[in-house]
Amino acid sequence: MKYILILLMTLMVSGSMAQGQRMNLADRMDREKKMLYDSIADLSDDQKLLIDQVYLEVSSSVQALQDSGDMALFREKLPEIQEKKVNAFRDIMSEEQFARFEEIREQMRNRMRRRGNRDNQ
Amino acid sequence: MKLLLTLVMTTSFLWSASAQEFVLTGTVQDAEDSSPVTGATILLVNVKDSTLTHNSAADDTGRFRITKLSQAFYKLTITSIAYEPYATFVRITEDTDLKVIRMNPDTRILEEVQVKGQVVPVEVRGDTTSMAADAYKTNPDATAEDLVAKMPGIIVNQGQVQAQGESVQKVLVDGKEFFSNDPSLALKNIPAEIIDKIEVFDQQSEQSRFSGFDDGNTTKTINIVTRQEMRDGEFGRIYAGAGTDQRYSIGGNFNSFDESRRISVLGMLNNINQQNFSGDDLLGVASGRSSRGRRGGGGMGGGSGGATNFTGGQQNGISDTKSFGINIDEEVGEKLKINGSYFFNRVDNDNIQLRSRETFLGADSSQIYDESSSVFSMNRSHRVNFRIEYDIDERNSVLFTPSFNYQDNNSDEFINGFTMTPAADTVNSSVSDYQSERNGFTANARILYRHRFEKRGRTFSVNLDGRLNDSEGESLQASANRYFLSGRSDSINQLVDTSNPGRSFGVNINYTEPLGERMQLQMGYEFDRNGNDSQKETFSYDPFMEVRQDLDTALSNNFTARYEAHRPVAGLMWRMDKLFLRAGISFQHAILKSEQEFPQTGNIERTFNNVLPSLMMRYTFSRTSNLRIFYRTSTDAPSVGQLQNVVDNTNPLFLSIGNPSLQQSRTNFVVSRYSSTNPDKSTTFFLLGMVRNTADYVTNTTYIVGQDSVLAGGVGVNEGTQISLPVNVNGYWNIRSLATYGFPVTTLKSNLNTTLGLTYVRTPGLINQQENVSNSYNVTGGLVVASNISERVDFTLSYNADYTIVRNTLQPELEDDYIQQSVGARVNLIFGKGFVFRTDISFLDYSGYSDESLNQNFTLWNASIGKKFLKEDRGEFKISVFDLLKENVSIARVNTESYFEESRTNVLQQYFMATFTYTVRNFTQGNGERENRWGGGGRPPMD
Repeated sequence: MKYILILLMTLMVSGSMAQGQRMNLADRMDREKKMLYDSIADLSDDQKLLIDQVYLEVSSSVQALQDSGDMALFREKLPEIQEKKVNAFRDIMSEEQFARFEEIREQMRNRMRRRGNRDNQ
Repeated sequence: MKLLLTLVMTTSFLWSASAQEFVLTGTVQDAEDSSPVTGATILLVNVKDSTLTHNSAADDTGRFRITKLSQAFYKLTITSIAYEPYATFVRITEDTDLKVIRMNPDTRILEEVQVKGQVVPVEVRGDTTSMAADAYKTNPDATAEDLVAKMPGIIVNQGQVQAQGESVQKVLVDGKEFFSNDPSLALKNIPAEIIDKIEVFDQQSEQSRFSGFDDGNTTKTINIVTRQEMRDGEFGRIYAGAGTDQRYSIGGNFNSFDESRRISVLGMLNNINQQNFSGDDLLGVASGRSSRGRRGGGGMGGGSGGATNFTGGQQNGISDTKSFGINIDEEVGEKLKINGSYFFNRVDNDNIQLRSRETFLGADSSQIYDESSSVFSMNRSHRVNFRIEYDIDERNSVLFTPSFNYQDNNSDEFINGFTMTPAADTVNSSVSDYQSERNGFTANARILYRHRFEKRGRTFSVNLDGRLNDSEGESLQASANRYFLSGRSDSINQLVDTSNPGRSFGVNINYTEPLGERMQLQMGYEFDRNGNDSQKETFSYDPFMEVRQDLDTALSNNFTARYEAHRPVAGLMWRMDKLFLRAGISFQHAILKSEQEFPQTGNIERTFNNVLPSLMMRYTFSRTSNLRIFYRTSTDAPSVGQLQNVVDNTNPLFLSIGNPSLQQSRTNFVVSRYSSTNPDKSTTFFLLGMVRNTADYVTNTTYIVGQDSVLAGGVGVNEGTQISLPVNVNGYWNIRSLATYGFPVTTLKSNLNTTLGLTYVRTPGLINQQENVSNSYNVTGGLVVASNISERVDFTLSYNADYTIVRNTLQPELEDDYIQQSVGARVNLIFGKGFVFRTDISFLDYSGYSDESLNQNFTLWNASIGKKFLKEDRGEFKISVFDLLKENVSIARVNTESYFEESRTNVLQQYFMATFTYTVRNFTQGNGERENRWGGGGRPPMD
């Protein structure tokens, strides 16, 4: 029981810390990947291998853009990279899996919007 | 991974929303010398859905081309013998040329080449057809039997397995014997999930496999190849179930495999007609009454696939089964391999049967015999088998295979039968009570010594074979008979003691010599000696005082038969690029001696000289298709029972008697097998043609006694009684053909296997000294749709029709056609959190039978619902029902040269059962992927 209490407390503390800070792009992608794997249970090993590879490439491309320091270029290229990622997933996942992936993205977008609104208030 | 990176990086991420079809091309080359890798197998699996596969093979220039590809990522796997497998991912968004793909030569031994994800469903290599288990997905609880039933060319019917039109006699596991050669034990106990491949081939004799000289002595064999990662660990399951009507089923199996040792233990106790083994019948009694009192005739006329009997998918009668067995396979060091097994079973069977037999007498006359019988029997058997192989050194090895079988059987039978004319006038009737106790053993030992000379292809081997067997029995018979034509009646009260000791010995010496690179010569000498005694003493018996009285010399006999054959053999084998030829010839000098010691003495000795040629040819059209033709001649000596000149009055209305002047019969046999697969389209085609002709075929001559008389020896016979005697007649023919075609149905994610078989059997016989030829024509057609969706959705749908036309020359006007059709569905669905629904429905329809009550249809419907629980779903609790509709019946029909017979037997009907199953899966090197998915669970008890 003691352990459960400690565990609960740790979770609450970390949760409040997470709320306190705004997630960066890399964290968001990690989170998206985790949600994707959690909610699409029937991905094959080959699919997972390819998805990992796509995320790896997307994050290295994003990192390269961020490192360039050119904010305008970053804003211009980011949607392109995102679109390439989505298209790659369309070629990796079955229709059902892809539909679930879209749902996850929609959820994350909504959450972002809500959080954005809250932060603006 | 490096390759993958490159590909993903260089492949365009651009996406176009077209539903176009694309082409993938490339060239496969040897990495070292850039030569083309001709025939390399190309497999392309769509990662979106691993059931969408495309296959191809590299042509003479190493080039391949795969068309009709939709936009997706694909896993490309290229394999070729002697090369390391090549695997990568390819993204197809337009027509793509991969240019040159270099394959590294493999220095490892071939067995180790293992490619993940390769799903070429069927491959033909020489005489072996190899089928990948991954291309025939089954549920986690499926057995090897369920898996093979989904594969093309394999038919599983009531525990009998036919592959490519022939009965499977042996099932090996990774090339090793599993409970000696009982096909059922391996197929019903090895779980499908540990199976990588199923191989079907004609296994050559031990001597042939060693010398490389195929002597044509083959056994239809299935080899279960297990997954590499599941060869080290433990697996098995235990189950216990209790049901209504005091039905129960308890059993289990446990297997422990590692690199050098494999131990399997299994057992079962039930009263629901379930058996995990094939019957082994030394005494010739387990088939029940039908084998008794009907000697002589060489066959039932039908032959397999022909006009044989078929039943509604269950055993006859109701059985209470107990069995236990252990199989051990051990490699002691590198030189010694030991395989041993012990198996025990006891079956208590309760069989109630109604039979109707029509014997053809002339153009418009017949005799009809109706019988009702009730038989209770107990059969027990013990089997011990060993196979010990010792490699003395690189050139010398010894193989020793001893075996011992013991069987005992008790039965209690009550039989009520009567004979009628077609106008329903009663001819005679008999009521019999029959009790018997029999036991017997067979001890067999074979030792094979093999020596390989330094020169490649030069070998020497000697095989010695010895067998001792004995069986003894005592039976009590009480019969009350009435003969209506003469108005007489009589009764029989007798006690019969039988003893049948036998022994045999055989030597086979074989030498092979290479003649150049492509030819091999074989010379050998074979000798067999077979001796069998048959003693029968019949005493009159006082049933009130329970004492035996006088010996009835007319029904007693002491008889000995010896058969000795010498065969010098020579053969020549020629191996060309595409053609393989073997021609052999042997000269056989055989002596058949029979000696009667009692009641009179008499000797008969005959010699037979035969030239026995054989020919085998295999033509390989391509890597995926070949044609094999095989011709052989053989002789069969009559059995001691067929020769023994004594009257058998077990059924007083049907007497039978042996014939000491029988000759050996001679058979010419040709079989051709054509196999073709198309890896590109995943189709398989198989064609079997077979012709068998027997001269001096042992058949029956049947007499219907015209007036009361006395047979030689003093046995009185009454008008209307039938007497049969085995005789030699020419003109037995059996012609069969079978075609199977299998192809994938992508819309259903299933494989469709179709079968069409034609059989013609010509069986000659004699009735009242008139010749009758039974011509039976049979057409059988079947369709199996086997799902290949996932472990969670597994179904097999089937349709089978069996149409037989029988024409007897004695009754040319009589049209006798009958048909049996069956539609079956077997479904296994896993849903929700570990729920399993299984159902098994068979609809059977019989028509054309002479007995109108047999022209019926019924549905046998079994179903169960289960819930899996415990870690990795290792436990399962389920409720099942057998024969939900209470319609189950068993109907059978037999055609012979002198009569046909239809029968109906009692069968198991509706019961409910609750079963708990616990599955063990523990593989030390298991790849978590398969292992963790499903722990397995129970199988429905009703199959």
